[in-house]
Amino acid sequence: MNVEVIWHDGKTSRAYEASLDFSETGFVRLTAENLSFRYEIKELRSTEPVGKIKPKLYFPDGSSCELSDLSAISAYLPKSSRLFEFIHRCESKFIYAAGVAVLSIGVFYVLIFYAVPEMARQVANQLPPLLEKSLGGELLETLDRIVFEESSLSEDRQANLSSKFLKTIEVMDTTAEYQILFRSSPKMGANALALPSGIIIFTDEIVELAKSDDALIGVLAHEVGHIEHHHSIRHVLQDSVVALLLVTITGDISSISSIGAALPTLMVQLKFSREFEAEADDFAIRYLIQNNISTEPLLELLKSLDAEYSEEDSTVSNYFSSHPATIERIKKLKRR
Amino acid sequence: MIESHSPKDFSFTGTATEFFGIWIVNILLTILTLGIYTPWAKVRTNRYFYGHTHVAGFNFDYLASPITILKGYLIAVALFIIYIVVSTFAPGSEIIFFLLLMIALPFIVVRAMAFRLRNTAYRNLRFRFYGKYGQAAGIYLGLGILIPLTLGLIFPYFVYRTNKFLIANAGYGKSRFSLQSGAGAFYKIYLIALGILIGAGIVVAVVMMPVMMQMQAAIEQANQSGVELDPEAMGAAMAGMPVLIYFLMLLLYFGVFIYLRTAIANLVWNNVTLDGGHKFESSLKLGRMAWIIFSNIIVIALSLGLMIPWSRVRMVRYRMETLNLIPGGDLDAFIAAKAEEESAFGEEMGDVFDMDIGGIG
Repeated sequence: MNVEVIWHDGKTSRAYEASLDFSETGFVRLTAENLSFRYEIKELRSTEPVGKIKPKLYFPDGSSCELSDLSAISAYLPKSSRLFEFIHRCESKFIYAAGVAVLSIGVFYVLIFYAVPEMARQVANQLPPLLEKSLGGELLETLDRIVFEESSLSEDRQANLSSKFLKTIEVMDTTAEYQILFRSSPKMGANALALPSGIIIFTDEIVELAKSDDALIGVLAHEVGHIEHHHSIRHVLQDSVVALLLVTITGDISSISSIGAALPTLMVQLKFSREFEAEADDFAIRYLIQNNISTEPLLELLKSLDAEYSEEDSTVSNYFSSHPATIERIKKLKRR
Repeated sequence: MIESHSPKDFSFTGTATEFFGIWIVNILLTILTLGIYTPWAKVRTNRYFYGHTHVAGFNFDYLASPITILKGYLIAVALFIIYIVVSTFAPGSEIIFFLLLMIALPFIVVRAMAFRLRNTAYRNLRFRFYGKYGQAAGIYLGLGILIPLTLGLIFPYFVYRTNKFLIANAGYGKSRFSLQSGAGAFYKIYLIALGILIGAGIVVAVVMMPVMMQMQAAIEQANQSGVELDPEAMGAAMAGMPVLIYFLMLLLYFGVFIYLRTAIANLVWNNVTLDGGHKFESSLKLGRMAWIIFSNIIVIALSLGLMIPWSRVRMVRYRMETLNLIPGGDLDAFIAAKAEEESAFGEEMGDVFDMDIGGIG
């Protein structure tokens, strides 16, 4: 059996027209112009097939030849890895590749929306409280430097609210150690924040916006919900895993076109955020109902917080929002 | 053998559908093996792109062994975990890691280039990299530190020296590459980029200022005549202005970035010589590059990433379409250099610590 090939001797860049002769069992004879070599077949190495690139055969002396088709002589060659032959079939046959694509989308879906959140929940519950404490402290320092100013609420008002809030928390079934802080923040406006380890910050703006302390109690319960569910840590964990998955997909991080993949990633991260908000809302509602506190003041506060609030439900913008639509949150509050 | 010395076109013969299969299988196996398949995925991807890149009748080969890459990869991951753990429990140690990384950076650049080139072959001859740690440290650290000190004035010179370092130390067989361009051409490119930025700034100011002033005048007139203006519409118009300007600026920076990449790629390729006689010709067009990159980003975003293979094939195909080899002699006359093993450690360090170390590709 004779096959025509292009042969490179590995010493120069010259190409030779050569032929392989497999007539002797266990050996191959290569003839190129006036040269002739005899190799043991078990010493030959062929590259694993990738796409439609031409297969190459490497000889023990460092020379190589390129063939247009390996299948004609594959019977004579050492068996290539079954696994990589299967992988190549999956890559190159349309129906296989389509199957792999569907499977991959399924795996990604389950990973992103079920497995990763569940793992993050487990990890967050196991983390030492000390870690959350140092994280919370560091975060507060940063926030104080960049968005917060000293609160302009009177000391009496602060002390009054603080003790009221802490008493409220005492009745709840909580595990963290709580600390209530007040800060002014023209940059943030009316807002309340929960930092890991139990620091809850109210801005002056939200205290002033709230028509009654009961509305603030509702906000407090929402923030306690964030802390009790370890949302900060879970958020960081989930976002990191998703970023890691993104690298797997884009492969080449340095290429500018990869920016395009940032949009789907952002949408996934925003969905995580909305789920955490909904979970904190549920926690607050449960608390308010159990203690016979009306949900009405919280509802009013939510409405005044959302300047663009409308009864219309906008589905598109929902995908790009860090919080559930106000209309959804209000519906949930009203249902109780 | 007599060979004509007419220009030889580079060409890329891969297709998006063909690469899609490789890409999607790589992703699935990487996820299912918790990342252990990464080196195999990398080798298969590189073999695909190299194998479909042809010039003067032959294609390129990527010869790296996945096992070698896996070893480097594991070391890099271990170092990364040490970094995470130590910096979590000993705050402030980041600065030490940063300094260590700075010292290691030239080493990583040299090793990554050596590994990549040594595992690239054409006509069964390997490429090589002869750069040394000392030279790399002088450029990446020595010149690098001077960039902020000179307010960026030596940045074009820095880019010139890094390109020169990477190219002048590269070889094919026994032959060496060299970069004929001087620093001046790099300064010219950066000056043009600066000119575009300043020019666009002036245009924005000239176009926007009258619009702003007219708006202001209209508001005053309305106030005087007692017409009630819808405050919401006013607010939207006022808020819209900075958003529009911000968006235009972003587009501008993006355009300048693409200009720099295109112009530098052309400059470098057009001044590379191999063995003194063989030359290259790169004719990337700014408009085409911008269009390809911009539409790639949009298509990737809309397809949730599924069109990434299409976008990569499209980019590489254009780059190869615009690249020519102008032989200065017999292409059959290159001779092999002596072989030496290089570990993949440097290259994987670069990947895990997320640095673009660049290359002549």
